[in-house]
Amino acid sequence: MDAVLELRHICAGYGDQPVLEDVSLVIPRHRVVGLVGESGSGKSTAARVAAGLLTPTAGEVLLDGQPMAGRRSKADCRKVQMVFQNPEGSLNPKHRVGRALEDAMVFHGTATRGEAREKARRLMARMELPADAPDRLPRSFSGGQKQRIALARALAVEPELLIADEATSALDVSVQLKMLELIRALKSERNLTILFISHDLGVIRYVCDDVVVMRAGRVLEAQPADAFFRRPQTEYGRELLDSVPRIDF
Amino acid sequence: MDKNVILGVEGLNLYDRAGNQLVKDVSLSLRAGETLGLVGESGSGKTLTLRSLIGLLPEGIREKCAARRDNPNCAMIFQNPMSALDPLCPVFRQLCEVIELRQKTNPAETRARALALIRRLSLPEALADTDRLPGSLSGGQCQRLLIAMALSCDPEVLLCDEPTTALDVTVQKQVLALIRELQRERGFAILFVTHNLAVAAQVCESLMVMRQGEIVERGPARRLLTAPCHEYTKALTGAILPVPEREA
Ligand SMILES: Nc1ncnc2c1ncn2[C@@H]1O[C@H](COP(=O)(O)OP(=O)(O)OP(=O)(O)O)[C@@H](O)[C@H]1O
Ligand SMILES: Nc1ncnc2c1ncn2[C@@H]1O[C@H](COP(=O)(O)OP(=O)(O)OP(=O)(O)O)[C@@H](O)[C@H]1O
Ligand SMILES: [Mg+2]
Ligand SMILES: [Mg+2]
Repeated sequence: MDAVLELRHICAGYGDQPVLEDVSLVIPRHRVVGLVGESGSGKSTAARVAAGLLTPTAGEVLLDGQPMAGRRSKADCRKVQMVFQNPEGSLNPKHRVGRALEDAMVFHGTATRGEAREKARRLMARMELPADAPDRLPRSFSGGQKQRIALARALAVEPELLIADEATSALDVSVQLKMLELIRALKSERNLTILFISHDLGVIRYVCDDVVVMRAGRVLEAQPADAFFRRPQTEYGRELLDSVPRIDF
Repeated sequence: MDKNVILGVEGLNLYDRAGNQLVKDVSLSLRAGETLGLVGESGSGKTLTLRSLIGLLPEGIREKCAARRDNPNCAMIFQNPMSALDPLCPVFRQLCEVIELRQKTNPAETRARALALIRRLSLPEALADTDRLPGSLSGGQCQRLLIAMALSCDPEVLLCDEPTTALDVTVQKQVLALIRELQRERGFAILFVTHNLAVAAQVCESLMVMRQGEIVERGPARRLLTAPCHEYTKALTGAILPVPEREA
């Protein structure tokens, strides 16, 4: 199978605290893989390893079939873009937000300085952000607006793999649905592959082809989404589905 | 304003530096023990409304209102847990400091109360001995710490801005149950902002729907979610992504 990214028997942690224990994960090209599970189980940590931001203590990371060791090249960095769980952290508070997109595009060579401004404006408009958004500072945006800016920044450099860590959690359901549709459209337009981390199982069911469940630093199960939502293989998977809040008056 | 209102505002208008109106003529009020939900569009002014109620508006936002009732005994769970914690202070210590400040407890008592909260929120107990900086916790762990800090204040009004977005559904269920249990015990009122309409349905008696700075609809949670009147509320309930029951 053609995988954009593969984690093989990864162990990783922070300092002397282990977090991931023997985590294996395949992200096939042009698919959306959902990563769900317990809070604190290591989903963001696995994402950091995949993005090359955290070096595993054991195991292998393959990007486009190539083992990654040491610092990644600039080209490899562009291939994997991450939208962080905390959108504030990835925006410079002193710069207008349009600049974050423009700098990223120029740095990765996906646009010249001259083209970047217009391209950033168009991308932000597609995210349903206000027209004056590119010229405003991060702090003047609501939580959900910041999330869309972070998503726009990641997409601006035309990655192969988009890692979205709770990237739509601050959006109202109607804007969220539009963003998910946009993500799906971009997936076909740009041949994008996505690792989608979310606690919202309705969202996961809507966008994901496959579902991977994590708990306490381990992968418990991985299967196609429709199979997972019908018949989870583990007790914890069943517990998750049974805990989804529902509107039942 | 009705004398039973413990926190509220009438005809609230908020403007930014350039004079753009961000919140238009919003009125809301809370009585003791009541649970009111605020749902709606991203960027519609929910967080700014909450901030105005507790007198914590960001710099540069101008405010006008017809009447208001303040309450010194409010606690707020902020929307972005990672940036709401002091990044340079270990989390258990932050929790202890809040307890000490608000409850005037001695060190042994403070520690015991902090530990009890940590346990009730399923956070690692090891935090009490090997304390860690907020940056070294997961998103959901930070969020639960903020919830612990807010609950430890023993507030009259708890304002929650997206308090469970970073929690998996099983932990979310526990946390919501805990908040409701404490509400029954202590009788505080809750103003609950959420994008999750199913969570709103479970927690709130009545709901208000906000769009572009205005309240477009309000009513009992059940009526509003099952028979919405306003077009926007209909669009919102229509955009819910369901999870069907699994096969038995
Ligand atoms: N920088 C860090 N230093 C030390 N420990 C960390 C650090 N970041 C995360 N951890 C710990 O690693 C574990 C896994 O964290 P991670 O952020 O990967 O969880 P998660 O599955 O993304 O959780 P959530 O759903 O709450 O975001 C947690 O116990 C957390 O406390
Ligand atoms: N400090 C600020 N300065 C100027 N404008 C601001 C500021 N904070 C928020 N705004 C603007 O005010 C409007 C309301 O923001 P608010 O944060 O209250 O929205 P919200 O309803 O909480 O949205 P979300 O659900 O996305 O968190 C938004 O259009 C936002 O861009
Ligand atoms: Mg995380
Ligand atoms: Mg908000």
